Amino acid sequence: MAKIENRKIVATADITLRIVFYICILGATFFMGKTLMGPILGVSDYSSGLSTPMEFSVPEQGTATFNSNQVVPVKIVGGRGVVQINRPVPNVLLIPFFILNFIFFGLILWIVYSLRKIVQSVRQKNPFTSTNGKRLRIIAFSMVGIELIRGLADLTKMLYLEPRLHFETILIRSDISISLRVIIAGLVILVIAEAFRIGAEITQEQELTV
Amino acid sequence: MRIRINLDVMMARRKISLGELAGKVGITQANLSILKTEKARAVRFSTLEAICQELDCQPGDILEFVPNEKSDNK
Repeated sequence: MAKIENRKIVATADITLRIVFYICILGATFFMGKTLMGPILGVSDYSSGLSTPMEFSVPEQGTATFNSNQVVPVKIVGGRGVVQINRPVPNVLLIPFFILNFIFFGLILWIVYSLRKIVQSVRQKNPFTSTNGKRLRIIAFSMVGIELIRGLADLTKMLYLEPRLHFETILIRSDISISLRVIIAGLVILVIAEAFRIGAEITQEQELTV
Repeated sequence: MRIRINLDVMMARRKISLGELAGKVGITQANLSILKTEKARAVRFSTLEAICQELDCQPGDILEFVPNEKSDNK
């Protein structure tokens, strides 16, 4: 019974990853096309603009009511929103973001594609191959790479964008936020990749035993 | 190669083909070919026993240990 359920899960994962892969391709094509072709064709103002999430602090205070009579003062410590800079965005800001986005999309596409191939090999009941080990290694390094790219984007925002943004009520405060969870997940996948490499060796040994 | 497989010699002596021996031993022709061409990493005792049974020989007639310097000179 459990075996059938697992097979169904793998099949569902295969279909889901296929859909996600095509959505990623469409999204990447749309984004890159808009960014590249927008300014050339003059399609829209937004195309050459820059939207990026940023953190800020805002001096907003309020109250919270508990048990219908207990009122506690509350204040907003920080928030996260999207800063949209309209054209003309200076190239010194636009080009690094475009390059980072390009690498970011490329890595995500590569991860989804590799995952699809691994799931397909599981469906064909032949997952322990050295190719899958390499794929998992690349996935692990890509995950770490994505986090580093996010860190680089944050650094660009912190050093270049933040001192140039001026608002009346809120104070922009960006910092470099590299997710430790993703890094740890990357390390775990590296260990699994090593397990796959050993599995591939054992499989080959089994195949060459007569 | 430190262990040489002399299966082809024994097969020639007994005048038996690869396919015929594979059928009698109960393994696939592809697997027997892996053994014959010295690509195998391990041989099960049961396989060795069946081959010796069919070829009417000893394991030493099929497997031969070749010391390193001799294999280097080859």
